[in-house]
Amino acid sequence: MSKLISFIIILLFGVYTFILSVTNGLGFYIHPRYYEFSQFGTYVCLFVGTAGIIYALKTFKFSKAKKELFNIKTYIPFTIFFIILVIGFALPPTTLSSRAASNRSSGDTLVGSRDSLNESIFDVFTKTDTSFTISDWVKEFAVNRNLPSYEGRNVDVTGFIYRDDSLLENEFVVGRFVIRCCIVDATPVGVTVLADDFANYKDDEWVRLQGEFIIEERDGAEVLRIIPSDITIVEQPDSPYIY
Amino acid sequence: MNSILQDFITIVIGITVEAMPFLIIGVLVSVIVDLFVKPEWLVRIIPQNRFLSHATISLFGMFMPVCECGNVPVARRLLMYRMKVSHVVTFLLAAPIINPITLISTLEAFNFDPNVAVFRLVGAFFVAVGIGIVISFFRDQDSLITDSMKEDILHCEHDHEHEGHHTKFEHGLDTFQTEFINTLRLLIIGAMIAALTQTLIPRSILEDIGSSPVLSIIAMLILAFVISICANVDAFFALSYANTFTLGSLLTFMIFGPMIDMKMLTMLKNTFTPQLMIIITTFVAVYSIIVGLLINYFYL
Repeated sequence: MSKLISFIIILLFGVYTFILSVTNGLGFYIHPRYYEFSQFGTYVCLFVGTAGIIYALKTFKFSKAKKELFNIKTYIPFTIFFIILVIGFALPPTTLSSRAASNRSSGDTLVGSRDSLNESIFDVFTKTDTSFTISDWVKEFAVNRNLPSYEGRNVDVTGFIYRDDSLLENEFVVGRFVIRCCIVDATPVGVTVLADDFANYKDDEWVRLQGEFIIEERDGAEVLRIIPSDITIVEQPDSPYIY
Repeated sequence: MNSILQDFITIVIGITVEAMPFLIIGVLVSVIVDLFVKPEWLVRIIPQNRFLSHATISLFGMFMPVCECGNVPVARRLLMYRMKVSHVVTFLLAAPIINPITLISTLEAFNFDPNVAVFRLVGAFFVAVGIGIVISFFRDQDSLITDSMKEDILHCEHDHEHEGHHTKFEHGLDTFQTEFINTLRLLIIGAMIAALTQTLIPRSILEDIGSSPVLSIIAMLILAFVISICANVDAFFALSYANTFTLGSLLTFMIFGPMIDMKMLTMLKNTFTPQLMIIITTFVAVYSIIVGLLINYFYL
């Protein structure tokens, strides 16, 4: 009976990762460079699970299995798998929350070096400011820390709202998580907004932010802030992370 | 959903989904070794000399570049083939780092200083071989593995004596199912522990001490233990701290992390005794700290 349950679990993990793959759910958990690895694992689980169930049924002793079927002790060793599979199938993939962003934030939100974002920096220079994504602003900031060069430039980005302890009460960040490998290394990056009507915007809401950069002084140092001209609540995009 | 619960579930599933393909590769290698490699072949290729035998085994990962999760089923298979515990420990510690994928990713991440990849490789070699040699002086190597592992070894020997009962394919299915389920169970538990820690402890607590040559190393050691990230890509994660943490602490992270973390310790719970796990963790931590200190005080 245990053998049969094990192969069923293997098959179900294959089905779960297959569903993640075809519904674009993998991107919520891993970097795209690992998609092929995940698909390989999926096909192995589907094959081994199916072949294993046939094999286990072939060697099944029905009289013994009948006793084990209704004995709860048979299922206890597999509890943790049942929990994960139920959660996985029942709940849609979600992003990390604004709480995780606050926990992982290093205060200076326009961080991230060119080396940590895979695309070339040079395509940034061919774009107009209002077509810059958060990823593009981070890439430019990695090579250009001359703050006056940002002053007055227009911003039009989409991200989720989170707050950091180092910010003032009327400030919040519009950002996204950068993933290099998988969810464990997800680090928030974004632009900091200075908004009089800050209370209208809640953590975790996805917004489209339009505004322009200004330079402010905080604790004797210059920092960049966005004065918004428009903040519109939007749906979470299908691909919420930056890779 | 409550945000703590949301983050916890997301991280647990994320670690499981990310690690599972590598675990599968490791189990497949273990199955192939079980079906086609005779135990006596391993005895022939490993030198008798204490240093050379551990040095040779530390290079096995060059032929098996998987995430460290995938090495656990292979290590268990080697134990079932009566390889010495000290040799298996060296393999487990060295394989995640001394392999082409980790070498390439480290060179790519730290392309501004290729010496980082060299320090990582050499540091890992001496840590893995050194600890293996220390453990080899234990006269009763069997006392370092758990009773359940000993049962699995006996079960494996029994299976090899009675191979006629199954086809090779059916035997392979049995082996896959046993190794995969046992190791995946521990991977998920390890993921839960890592997720709990990451959800509840803010990273900023560790980042405040990044510039100190000594405290930065301790902070990176703790982060490496908690974060449980794969060796193939941890160099990019470490790179994100390059502006705030000392280079020595990043090396400590990249040597200690692939060898010892919450996920790995949980996965090895049914294989090695707590005594051995404490010895390994302590030695790896001390050696990694020494490497970090040497870099911080003598390299730059």
